[in-house]
Amino acid sequence: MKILVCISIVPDTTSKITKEDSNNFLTKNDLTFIVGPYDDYALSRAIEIKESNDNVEVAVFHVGLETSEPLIRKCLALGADYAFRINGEPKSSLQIANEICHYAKENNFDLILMGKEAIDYNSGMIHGLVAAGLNYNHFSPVMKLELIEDELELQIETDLGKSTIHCKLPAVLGCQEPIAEWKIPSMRGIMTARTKEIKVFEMKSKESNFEINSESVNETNRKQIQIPKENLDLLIQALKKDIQFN
Amino acid sequence: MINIAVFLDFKHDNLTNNSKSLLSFANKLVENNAGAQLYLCTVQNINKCYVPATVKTESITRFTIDNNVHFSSNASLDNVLSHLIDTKITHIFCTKSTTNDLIFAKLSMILNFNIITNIKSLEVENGLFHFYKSIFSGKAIAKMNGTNEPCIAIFPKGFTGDVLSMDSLDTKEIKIDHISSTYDSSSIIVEDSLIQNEIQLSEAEIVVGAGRGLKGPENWGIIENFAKKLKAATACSKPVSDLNWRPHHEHVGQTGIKINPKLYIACGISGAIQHLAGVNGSGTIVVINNDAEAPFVKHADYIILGDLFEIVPELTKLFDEA
Ligand SMILES: Cc1cc2nc3c(=O)[nH]c(=O)nc-3n(C[C@H](O)[C@H](O)[C@H](O)COP(=O)(O)OP(=O)(O)OC[C@H]3O[C@@H](n4cnc5c(N)ncnc54)[C@H](O)[C@@H]3O)c2cc1C
Ligand SMILES: Nc1ncnc2c1ncn2[C@@H]1O[C@H](COP(=O)(O)O)[C@@H](O)[C@H]1O
Repeated sequence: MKILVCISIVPDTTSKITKEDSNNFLTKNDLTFIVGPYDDYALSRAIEIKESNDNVEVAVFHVGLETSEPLIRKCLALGADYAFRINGEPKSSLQIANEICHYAKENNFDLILMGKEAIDYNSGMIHGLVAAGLNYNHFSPVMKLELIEDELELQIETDLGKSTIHCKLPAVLGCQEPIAEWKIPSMRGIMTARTKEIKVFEMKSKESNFEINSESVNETNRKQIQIPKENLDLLIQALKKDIQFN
Repeated sequence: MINIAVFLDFKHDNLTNNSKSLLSFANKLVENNAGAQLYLCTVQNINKCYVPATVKTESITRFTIDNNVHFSSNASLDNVLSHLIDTKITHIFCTKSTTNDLIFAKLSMILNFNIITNIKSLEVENGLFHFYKSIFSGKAIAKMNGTNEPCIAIFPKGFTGDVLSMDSLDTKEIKIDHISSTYDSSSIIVEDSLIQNEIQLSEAEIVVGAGRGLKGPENWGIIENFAKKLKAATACSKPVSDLNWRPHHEHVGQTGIKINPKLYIACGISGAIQHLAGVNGSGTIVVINNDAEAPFVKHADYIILGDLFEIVPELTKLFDEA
C-alpha cells in the first residue's frame, strides 16, 4: 500500500506577524518555519501505520521552494521513505491541488493524507479539491484512522457531532488531532534520512489568476478595562451595553 | 455578467442566522450592480422556505444529493452541476460548515472555479470582485484585487455583524424547485453520536473557555454551570484536552477549532499565542486570571484579576439576578 502525505511549510505557531510599510506583503524572512502542525499529525499517523503493517510505503509531497528541503528531510528522518518536491512558489489552493493530482495520478497512491488546513492561509480546501480531481473518497476532519485489511475505519467530526465511518480506498483525508501524537526524529532516523531521495519536479503551471495582491497585519485593539473583583456588577452592566444577542 | 448562486442553510425549515446575513449581503450586492442576478439554492431537505420580502427572487432550488444526514464525499453532484451550468452561475456564495466545505471543494475542482475561504469583506466595483481574506488565523489580512473570474466564496460564520431579524421584517414564502439525483455510496456510516441539546461551539454566540487554571477535570462543574446560565458553549485549551480533562472537540486555538462568538470568557487560560489564534475573532473578550502578567490580559476587553474559583461562581450568581 502506498500512502502520500502532503505537507505545507508554514511560520512557527509563535511567530509574530509583521510588515514593513514599503512592502506589499508580510515580512517572512526572519521567521522560523515548521511543517504544518496538522500535516505533522497526518505524517505521524502514516508512519504509525507503516510501522504496524507490512508493505506500506510512505511518501512526502510538497509544493515549494528549495528552502523547504531541510524540513522535508525532517519528514524523512521521522520515517517517510522518499519525497517529492514540486519546485515553485505556491499561489492558490486550486494550483497546489492540481499539482498533487498530477503526481498522485502518475504514481497510484491508495491513501493521501493531509492536514485539516494549512495554518498560514487557512483554506482547508486542498484535500477536497484533490479528492474531486482524483475521484477518491474524501473526509475531513479525521480524528481517528485505522487501517483494517483494505478498508479504513474513521472517526470524523461533522456539523452535528461525530461519526464513525467505514471508507474504501482510495481516499483523501484531512487530519486533525488526536489522530496521532507528534513525533521527534531519532538519531538513527536522521542518519538514514541523509541517503533518502527527494525528487524534484518543476511546477506544471506557475500562473494563477487568483493571487493575493497585498497583505496587512490585522490589529484588533481590545478595550483593556480592569474590573475589580469586588465589583463584578460592572462587568454585567458593560456587557449588556456592548453586546446585542439574538 | 454576474449570476450569484447563494447556497442557504436551514435548521428545521428556518434559515440559519449565518445564512440570513449572507442572503441579505448578497441581495444588496445584486441591487447595487445593474444586471446582476440572484439565485437561491439549498442542499438541505426543506419543506418550506421564507425569505425577507426584499429578496429579489421567487424560488429556491433544492437539491437532493444524499439520502443521509451527512453529505457523503463520493455522492454525485451531477444535478447541482448541470443546474449551475444551465443558469450560467458565475459566483457561488455559501457559509462555512463541514458539509459545505466538502461539497464546494468538489464543485470547485469540477467547475474549475477558484475557491476563497475566510472572507473578511468583499467589494464589487464595475463587475470586479475585491476580496479581503483573513490569514494566519486572523493575525493578518490578504487582499485579492479585482477579478471577474468565476469563483466560489465560502464565508465564515458571523461574516456580517447584522443578522436580519425576520420577525420584524416582511417575509414571503417562495417556491421550492426540487432536483434529485441518485448515488451509490462506498462509505458507510456505522455510528453517529450527535451532539444533542448541547450548544455547538462553532455556532455559539457566547463561549466560556477554561484552561489548566482549573486544576483538574473534577472542577469543571463551575464552568458548566456558568455556561448553562449564559446559554454558552464550553471550550478549553489544548493541554486540557491532551490531558483528557475535556473532549477534543472542545479544544480551540491554532490546532483546534477557530471560534468567533460575540462574547468569549476565558477562565484560567494563559493566552498563549496558539490559543489566541483560535479566539481572536471573538467580539468581546473577558479574561479571568490570577496573574496580571498572563499574556491574555493584553488581548482582553475586560480583565478580572483574581481566583477563578471565587469569581466564576460569583458571576454565575450575578447573571442569575440580571
Ligand atoms: C504547535 C503548537 C500548537 C498549539 N496549539 C494550541 C491550540 O490550538 N490551543 C491552545 O489552547 N494551545 C495550543 N498550544 C499550547 C499553548 O502553547 C499553551 O501551552 C496552552 O495554550 C496553555 O494552556 P493553558 O492556558 O490552559 O495553561 P497554562 O499556560 O498553564 O495557563 C494556566 C493559566 O491559569 C491561570 N490560573 C491558575 N490558577 C488560577 C486560578 N485559581 N484563578 C485564575 N487563574 C488561574 C494561570 O495564571 C495561567 O495563566 C499549542 C502549542 C504548540 C507548540
Ligand atoms: N504547498 C503545499 N504542498 C503540499 N501540500 C500542501 C501545501 N499547502 C497545503 N498542503 C496540504 O493541504 C492541506 C490543506 O491546506 P489548505 O487547503 O491550504 O488549508 C495542508 O494541511 C497540507 O496537507
